[in-house]
Amino acid sequence: MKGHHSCRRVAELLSQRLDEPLGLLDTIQLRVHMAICRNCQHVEQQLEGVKSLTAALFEADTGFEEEVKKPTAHEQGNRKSDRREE
Amino acid sequence: MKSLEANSGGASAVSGEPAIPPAGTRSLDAELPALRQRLLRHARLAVSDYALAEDLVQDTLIAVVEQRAGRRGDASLSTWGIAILKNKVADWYRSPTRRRMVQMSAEDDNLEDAVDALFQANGVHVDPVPAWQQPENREEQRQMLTVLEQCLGGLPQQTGRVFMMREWLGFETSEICERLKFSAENCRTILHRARTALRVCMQHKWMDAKVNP
Repeated sequence: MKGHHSCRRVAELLSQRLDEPLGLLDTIQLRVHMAICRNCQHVEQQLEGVKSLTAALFEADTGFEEEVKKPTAHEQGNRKSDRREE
Repeated sequence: MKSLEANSGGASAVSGEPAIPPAGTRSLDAELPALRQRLLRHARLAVSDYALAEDLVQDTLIAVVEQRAGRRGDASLSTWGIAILKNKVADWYRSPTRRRMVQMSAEDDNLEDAVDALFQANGVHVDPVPAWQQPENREEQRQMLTVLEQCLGGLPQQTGRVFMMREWLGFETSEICERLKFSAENCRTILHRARTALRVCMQHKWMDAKVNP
């Protein structure tokens, strides 16, 4: 058995880690690999991006364009007060 | 149907007209069609059967209307509707009478090849993986979400459903495996492929398009 994980295996572990705690050996080998592999660092960042964007998609306020046209009177009030300070 | 705002539907279509009634008097009826559309889009990603998605959304809308009187607080109608829908979809997956509808197809299995193609034989990435830029403003974030929704819709059916059970409904993977009769290893693999497909899809359709429009 090799002493280090391949990027392919690391990608699997990065996904698995989002669902369950990893074993000690996997945790250590993942950490060692991540320290030196830029591609896998970016994979991790992208996976986090996918996760947080998915959460945002199912939130009422960020999910859809046609629904985000509400704060008109309030915004105008703020803009006026900004102008006064200039 | 009795309505205090008989004209509101027509008036709001005219641009520039202040169509937003004072808080508290906005007609629920006027908001239901948009809410229904939105809930349907979510439901279709979460369950594979179109008729089932419609049924779940219908039940949700009934609950929204019925519980309207007891509704308090600042939660918007969509926040509230989405929360109810989420419970209904989760209940459906947990229902003992649910037919076993999540079965992997050839399309789902083909994803294996697509994920494999990202790596060389020695397990190293074929192409460099770029860092993602954060969205610069709200508008850009909304565009990203639109692209993500397309990518989610493009996942093989069952792979997409498993991803939604995990990331939207918040099921533990152990429960997903149990409900769908998958092995733990199978569950892990499906989620890994789903996430990989989504990040690659986002990379192509959003990040690359942003650099080379």
